[in-house]
Amino acid sequence: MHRMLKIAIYGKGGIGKSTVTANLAAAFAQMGLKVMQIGCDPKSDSTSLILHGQEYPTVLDLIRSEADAANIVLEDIVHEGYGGVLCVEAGGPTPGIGCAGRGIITAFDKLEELDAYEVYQPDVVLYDVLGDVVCGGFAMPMRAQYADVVYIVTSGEKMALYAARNIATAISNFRARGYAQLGGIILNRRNVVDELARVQAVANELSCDIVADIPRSDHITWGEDAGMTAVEAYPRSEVAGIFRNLAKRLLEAGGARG
Amino acid sequence: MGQLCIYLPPFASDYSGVCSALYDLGCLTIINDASCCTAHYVYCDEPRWSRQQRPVLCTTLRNVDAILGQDAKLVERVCDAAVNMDVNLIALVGTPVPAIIGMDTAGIAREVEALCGKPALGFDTTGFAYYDKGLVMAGKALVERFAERDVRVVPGRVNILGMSPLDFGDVGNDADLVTLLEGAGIMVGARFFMGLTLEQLRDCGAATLNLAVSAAGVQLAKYLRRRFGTPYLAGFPMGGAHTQCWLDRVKAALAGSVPAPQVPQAAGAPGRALIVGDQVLADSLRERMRLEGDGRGIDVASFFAWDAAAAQAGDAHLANEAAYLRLLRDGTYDALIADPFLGDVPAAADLDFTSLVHPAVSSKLHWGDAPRFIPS
Repeated sequence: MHRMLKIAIYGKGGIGKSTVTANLAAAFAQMGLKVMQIGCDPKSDSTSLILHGQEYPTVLDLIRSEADAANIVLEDIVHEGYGGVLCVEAGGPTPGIGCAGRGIITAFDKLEELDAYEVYQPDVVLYDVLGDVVCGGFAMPMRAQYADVVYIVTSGEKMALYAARNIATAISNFRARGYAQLGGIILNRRNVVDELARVQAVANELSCDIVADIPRSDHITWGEDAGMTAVEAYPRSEVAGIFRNLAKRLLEAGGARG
Repeated sequence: MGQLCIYLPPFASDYSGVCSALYDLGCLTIINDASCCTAHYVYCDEPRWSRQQRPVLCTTLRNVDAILGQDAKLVERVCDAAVNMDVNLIALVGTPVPAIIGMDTAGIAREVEALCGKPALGFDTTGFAYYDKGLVMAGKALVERFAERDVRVVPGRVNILGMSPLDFGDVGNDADLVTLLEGAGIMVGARFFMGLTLEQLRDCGAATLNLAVSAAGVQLAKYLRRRFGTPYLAGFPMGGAHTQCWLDRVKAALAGSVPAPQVPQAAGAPGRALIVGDQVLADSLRERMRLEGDGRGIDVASFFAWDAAAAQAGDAHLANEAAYLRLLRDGTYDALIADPFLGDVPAAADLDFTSLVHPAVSSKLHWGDAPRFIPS
C-alpha cells in the first residue's frame, strides 16, 4: 500500500497557517514529492498561493448546486498548481447560516466517496484547518483515516498561544482513540517581545519541540503580492531555506513515526 | 430540498439498516439519539421486535450533550450497560444530531472497547441515507472485524448476502431460502443478515459463491469479491418456474460454468409495467413474469442501492419522489407493481396496481403482508 504522510496544520485564525502550508507544499513539491493540499477553511484561500490566485469552485460550492452534486467528479474539485501540487478547497456555508463544521465533514466524505487518495496516491497530504478546534467538524482532520500528525502554527502573541493550548488539548483528548499525535510547534514570528521564550515555554508545557522558527520576511510578502509562495518566487531566500528544512524535518519525523 | 416528499413517507434510514444487520448477533446496540430514532427503528423498521426483543438502547442525547460533546460520559454509560448486560459485542450507532455536530462515533467506540474490553463497533450513520447503506456499512464492518483472512474455500458452500426484514419482511423468506438451498444439496454458510452468527462471520471467506439477494447484498458481494475473491450471483427465487431457473443458475455458478441466459425477452405485447422496489427483487420478479409468458415491456425502478451494470434499458434509479412522479406521469406505463404507499399517489391513479410490500417504505402498516416469494 502506498505510504502517505498526512499532516494537519492548525493554529489561531490569521496566524499564517495557509502561508506556512502553501510554502511547505511548494517545498515538498521541489523535493519531487506528490503533494495534496486540502484547505479546510470556509474562507477557501488556503491554496491561493499554489494556484497563483486562480479561483475554482470549492467542494461545497458544487454540492450546493443540487444539479451538480450527484455528478461531481474528482477533476471538478482537485486542481493542479505549482509543482504539481493537488489543491482542494472544502469551502463553507453562506456566511451567517449553515454549519461550517458539518461542511468540513461533508467535503471530506465527498473526497472519500470519490476515492481521491487512492486515485492520486499523494506522498504528502497537508490539511490546512481553520483556527481553533471549535467543534467536532474542525477536529475531523485529526481523526483516524486523516492526519497522522498535527503541527500548530503560533506566534508569541497571547491569543495565538491560547489557541495552541486548546488544539493540544483536543489532540490529547483523542489519545485513547489512537488518532493524530502532536508533532510540534511552528513559530511564525510577529516580532513580539521575548517571542521565542514565550513559545518555548508553551512547547515545554505541551512536551513538544519548536520545529521551525519562521521570521517575518519581506520575501513572503513580495511573493504573496505576486500570488506565489516564497519557496517558488524566491527560492534562494533565507525563508525559503527554512521552509525546505522544515519539509525535510517533517518528512524525517514522518518516516520515524512509521 | 430534493428529498421533500409530498406523498411518500420517510424511508428506512441508514441507522435502521445497521441495527437490522446486527439484530441476530446478540449485540448491545446503542443508538445515539434523543429517542426518536430508536423508537422509529424498534417500532417502525424492525418487524422482529414484536416477537423477540434485543438489547437496543438509546442514549437520550440532550441539548447540553450536543453542545458540550460529553463523549467521556457516553463512554462510561455504554461500558456500564455492556458489563451489566453481559454482551459479547457492542455497536454505537449515529443519527442526525451526532452527524451534524460531528460526533466521532467510531472513535467513541474505540474508547469503549479499550475501557471495557469487549469488541465495539462505531457506525457514523447520519439518518441522511437509506437503510441499504446501513446494511452495507454493517456488513463490511463485521467482515473486517471478525472474518478470518486465511480460510480454505469449501466447495459447494454459499453465503446469503443482503437478506433483511426491511426488504423481505419477517414472513419466512429467510427460512424458505435456506430450506430451498439445503434441499438442493447446497451448503449454506453465513446468512447476512437473518440468522447470522459470529461463527458464520469468521468463516464467511470460505464460501464458493455469494448469493446477493438484494441490492445491498450486491454491494456487499462486490466487497467480498475484492477481499476473498468470491464470485457472486445476484437474484432471488421468486417462486414457480423461476425458482428452478434460479437454482439451476446457482448450481452452474458453483460448478464454475457461466449460466446461459434462461429468461425470454419481452415479446412486444401491448402495455408496459413498472416494478418499483429493491433492484434485485424487482429484477427477479421481472424474470419470473417473463418466464410465465408476460410479453409486455417491464421496467424496474428503485430509490435504493443501484447497480447500473445490472440495469436494463428503461430501468431507473430514482433520486427522489419528484423523479418517481415524473416517471409515472410520462405516460409510459399502464401497470405498476410496488409498495402500497407508492401506488397511493395521484400519478398512479389510472394504473393497474399490484401490491409488492416493501417494509422499508410502508413500515409496520403493511409488513404483515410482505410476500413469501418461494412458496408462491
